[in-house]
Amino acid sequence: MLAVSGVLLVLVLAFAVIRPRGLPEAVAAAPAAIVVVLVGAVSGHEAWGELLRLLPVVLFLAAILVVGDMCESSGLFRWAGDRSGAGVAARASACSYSSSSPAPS
Amino acid sequence: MTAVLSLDATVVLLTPVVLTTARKVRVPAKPHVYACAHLANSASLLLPVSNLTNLLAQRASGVSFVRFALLMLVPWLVVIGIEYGVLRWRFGSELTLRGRTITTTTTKLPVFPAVVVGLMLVGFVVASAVGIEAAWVAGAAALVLVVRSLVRREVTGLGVGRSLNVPFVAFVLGLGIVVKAVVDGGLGAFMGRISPSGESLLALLAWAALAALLANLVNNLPAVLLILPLATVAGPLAVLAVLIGVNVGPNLTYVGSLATLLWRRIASDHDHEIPIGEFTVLGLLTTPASIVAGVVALWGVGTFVLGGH
Repeated sequence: MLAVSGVLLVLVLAFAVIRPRGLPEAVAAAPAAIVVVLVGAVSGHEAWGELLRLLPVVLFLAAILVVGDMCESSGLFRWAGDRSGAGVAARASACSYSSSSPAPS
Repeated sequence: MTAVLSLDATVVLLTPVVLTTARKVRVPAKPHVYACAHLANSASLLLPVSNLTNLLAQRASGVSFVRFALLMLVPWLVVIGIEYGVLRWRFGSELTLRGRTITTTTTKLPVFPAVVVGLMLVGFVVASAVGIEAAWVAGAAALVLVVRSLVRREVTGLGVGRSLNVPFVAFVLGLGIVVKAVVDGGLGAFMGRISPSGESLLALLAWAALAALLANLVNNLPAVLLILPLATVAGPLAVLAVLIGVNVGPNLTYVGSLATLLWRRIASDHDHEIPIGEFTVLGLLTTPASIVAGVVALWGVGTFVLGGH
């Protein structure tokens, strides 16, 4: 049983890394979760308990991603980028090193 | 920004900004892009809301928002200091300014979103003190910003729906269940045998090392889900040492954290490929040193300065 769950975990993580055809990570994770419950690696009760435990955290994540996107579309990060761009330029000129090496990319 | 807005959002939004800014200022982008990735992971140490792993840990350990930040402040500064030092040393020759003039277009600060984010941060502190979930505060801030952006036609309803990133939420939930199956299947018992006990300096270093190793093997979110039940028994300092391990540790490998994966994808979308050799060497230079220094700082602050609840 541990072997089954272990293999599924590896598959879910590998899928998350490789993301074939740009498919979302959930495409592997959701079925894997259903399978481990169906084969009895984890009881339905425990699985539900885990869902409830994670819910406040993932709801927070969803909300904060929305906050981030709304800030982005209103230009908050462009502003921050411009400010730190000016900072970068100031720092770079203040600590100038030898300019013989060509800039990459 | 990572500290406030949480890791994944920061990586997704900041990396393109850094690349674009670097091109505008005509400074080689590489050191700043690496800084993005490394610091997105390490700088997320400070607050419970800076990272999913932190939020999970804070809720399990019962430490308050403010106490969490106070305990993590010095480790956070130490880790960032080491990261900055190594990046400066490593990429010092590439920090030259090219070209004669720097044209920076000055955009105006969008006041409303900035204020909302500031209030949200205050809200996290209050919510933690009063026992309300941080999700409510973040949800309120999101609602306010969404309504405003919809009214000003800066986004569409569909755009908002996409921002919610339901697929990613589903992924985290699915992952949690699969990890639970692995833990219940025997990994939990094994972890119990090999994990340290107590909160001495050596124990804390062991907690962090175990967490970092696990994070690089299976990614930091499953690692936290695996270790947390054991660390909470040992105490809040053990939990925070685990966080140092899982947050800073992933700078060693590509797959160590979801944020690093996101970052790499975004950088390559902007024609900025990341050679794995260089990434790994950089990780070897910064990660072990930062973890050790961070844990020592945590132990010092937690044991001598802020001892007791």
